[in-house]
Amino acid sequence: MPRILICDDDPDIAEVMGEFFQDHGIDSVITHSFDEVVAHRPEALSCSLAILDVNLGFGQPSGVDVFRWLQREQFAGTVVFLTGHAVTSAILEGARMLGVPILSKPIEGETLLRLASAEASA
Amino acid sequence: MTRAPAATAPEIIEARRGAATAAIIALAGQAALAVVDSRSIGWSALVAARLGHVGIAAIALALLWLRPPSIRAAEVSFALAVIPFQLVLLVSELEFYARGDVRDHGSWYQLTMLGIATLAPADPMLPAFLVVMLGVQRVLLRFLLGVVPLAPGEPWLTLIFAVVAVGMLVSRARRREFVANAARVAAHAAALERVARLLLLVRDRANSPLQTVALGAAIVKRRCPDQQRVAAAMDRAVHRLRKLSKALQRASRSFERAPL
Repeated sequence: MPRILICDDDPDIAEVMGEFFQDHGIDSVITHSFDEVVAHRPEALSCSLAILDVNLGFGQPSGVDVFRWLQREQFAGTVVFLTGHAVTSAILEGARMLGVPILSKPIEGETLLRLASAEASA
Repeated sequence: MTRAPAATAPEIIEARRGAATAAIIALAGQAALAVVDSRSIGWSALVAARLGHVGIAAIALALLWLRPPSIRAAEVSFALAVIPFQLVLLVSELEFYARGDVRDHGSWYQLTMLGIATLAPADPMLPAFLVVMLGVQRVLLRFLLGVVPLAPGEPWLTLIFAVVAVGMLVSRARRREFVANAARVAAHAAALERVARLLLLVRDRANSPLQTVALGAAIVKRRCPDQQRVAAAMDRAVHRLRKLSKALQRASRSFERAPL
């Protein structure tokens, strides 16, 4: 089964998503910021799927920064952005321009499992 | 019956400015002319009329200063400052006619008409009536009392000025209405945009907790088989909140597209 990198500044979402994946036998690496992803570099790069919140807090590096860091570090897995924001923001626009799938919160559990199983079968 | 929309602050300021200018012109102009006339023709009914007009113009200014700012107050002050011009011009024409002296009153009528057309605060009806009455006075003096104007072509030239002045009043009133409507439309659009942004903000703020609850419900369903009713209730609640979130987004989009 794949290992999933979760990066969301909302600790509740990150923890519950991790628990959800664990219930389905999927291991996850839970982080809440760019710095935490970098701090967990080996575990992060070992994941095959990264679910990144686009906005990681005011004044903080965004999910786009995490994506660029993963690219620089030769991350081999798939990246999807998760956002709760419908309002157009510069960060969201930047994420759209990268051509990375953007999923809007709240996302169904089944959708998360489909993403994970797609990576497992890839 | 529809109520006229409340005047905006710029409309009131413009109306007050017009009324104040008219009152100051009346006050200063008539005071200066009273001095000139008292020296040239001596103390007379004309000088008394001019001094009376000075007093009324001062009252108009005081009212404008003391009463709360409004279009109505500006219109009352303007009327007080301007109406006496008619009487003063009448007295002046009769005075000079009786004396057999010559003064070109036509230009005074014309100046007064254009002044009214330029400075009238808001509703054009009373100012237009005053302009017409000035023209009528000129014609009546000529044909009923035989006061022969000095300039050739009078009183018809003055009547042409009256038509021009009324046209200016109507044009200004239409422009004021257009500007006021544009300001109201802009304010309405800004209010709709604020509502749309608020709806989107509410939706955005609700999405993260909703995500937590949705996944939490899925976990409860899997981990607690004996709590299926609770898990199902949570699922339904999440479903309703999801629908509400989509409705908020639709509503915000419809506000953004709302016809103004």
